[in-house]
Amino acid sequence: MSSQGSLRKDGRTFNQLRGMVCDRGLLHRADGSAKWSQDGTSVLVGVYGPKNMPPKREDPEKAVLEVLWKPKSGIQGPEEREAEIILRRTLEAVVLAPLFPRAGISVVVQVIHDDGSLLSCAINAACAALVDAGIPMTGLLASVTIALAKRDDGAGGGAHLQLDPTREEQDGAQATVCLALETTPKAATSNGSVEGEAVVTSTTRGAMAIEEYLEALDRCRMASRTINAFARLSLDKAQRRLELPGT
Amino acid sequence: MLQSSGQGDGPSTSGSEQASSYVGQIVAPGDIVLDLTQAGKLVRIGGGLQQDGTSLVVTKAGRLRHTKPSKYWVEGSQRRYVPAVEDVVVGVVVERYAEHLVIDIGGPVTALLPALAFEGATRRNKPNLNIGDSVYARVTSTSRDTEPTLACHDASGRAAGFGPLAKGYLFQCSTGLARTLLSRPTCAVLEALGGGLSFELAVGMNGKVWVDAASAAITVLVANAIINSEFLSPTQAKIMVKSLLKQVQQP
Repeated sequence: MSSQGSLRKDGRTFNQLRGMVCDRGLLHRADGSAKWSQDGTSVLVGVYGPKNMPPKREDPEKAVLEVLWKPKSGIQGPEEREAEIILRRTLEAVVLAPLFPRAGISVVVQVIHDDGSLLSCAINAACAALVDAGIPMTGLLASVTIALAKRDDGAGGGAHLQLDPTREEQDGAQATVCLALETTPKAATSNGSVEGEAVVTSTTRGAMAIEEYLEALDRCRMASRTINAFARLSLDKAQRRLELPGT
Repeated sequence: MLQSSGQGDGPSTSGSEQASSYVGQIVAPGDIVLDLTQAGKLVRIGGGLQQDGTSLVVTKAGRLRHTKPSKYWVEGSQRRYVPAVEDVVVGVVVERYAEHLVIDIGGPVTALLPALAFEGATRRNKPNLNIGDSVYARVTSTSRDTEPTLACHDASGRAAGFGPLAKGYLFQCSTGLARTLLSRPTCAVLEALGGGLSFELAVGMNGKVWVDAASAAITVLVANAIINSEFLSPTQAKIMVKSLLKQVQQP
């Protein structure tokens, strides 16, 4: 399987993520911000809040989460609206909104460049920005997209699932799955057992067999651990930088 | 890093409670830092932690702190302030009513300062604060469903330094820097600034800092030095202050 033939156009193996870069706290006026890049795909997220909301929109039970998706150029279309809703529902699963009744949390997503797996990149960026803003959360998110290449590509035998696809791979795919998982935390429990990653969001496009979906889910699980490890590393670095004067 | 407790099976007695293995480490939301069945009878938790069944779960990123016997909290730096009881804050009056003042402390909602929550204040004799004035106060209550309340006196009713802040200059920094400025022993920047200049300073846990000095130039210098010191080591901060002081003394 590891022969040259199983490599993708950009030289990656089918099960390989692109290089990730995460910058935290780079916006001055936002309460928290992060830029998350996966090679060509890059998203900048700013988080504002918890803050006062206009009385019309506030919820007496919990904080209202609003997501604004700014495309790279032009105005919002239906695709952006859909991404907004998916992202909002994903974040609502991890943000401890009941701690701030009547308040609002704004998440502004600015797409810098789209080279495939955009929604995953945005979810990862938003999670990093929320952590940077100090918004209480139940856990961290990691999101991965998988493209199911068309079978007549000649890449047979289970090698047709492409992890973290580029735009070209995504456009040529038979189907794509975008999964967001709540990652497994570090735990100091006595028995050391923590449940595995929980699926928070799953969006699919195109048609695929159930077995293929389950296979994709498995691979996303594995990849989410890599993303989680990277996110923790970047968080560690950012926190150390903040603490320098005290220590 | 992942150390399991040595005595695996024996039920832990209340005397042998041990601190979480994550103390002093950087933790992220979702981390389970303590198993409450293994901890002592009483565990006190501060900001950034939550109880979930029998475990203690982190909700904010930061460094896990612990003091004996069993206090735990997460220390992180953030721009937006979330009020906590007994924090000292600097706020700005935004609305004025007969019974109370509405104060902006930079939190999710504005705070309430009762008009009589000053030392020696009575119905006839209460301080006259106008919209836009700044006050140095203490948070007396925070509840999920009501606005936080402030007071300009300590628990025994003394002013204890709290009260209106006349004149001066107010600026905003991160909560992490505010904590550094309030820490003991005095942090390097303030030590260095205090050595060469005389000024008044009020730091709030909410990241609002009030400075007043004899001249506007000194006020601005102090404010700039404090803002610049956020990412500097103590030695770097001292050097920075020294070069600033030179500039102000030359003309």
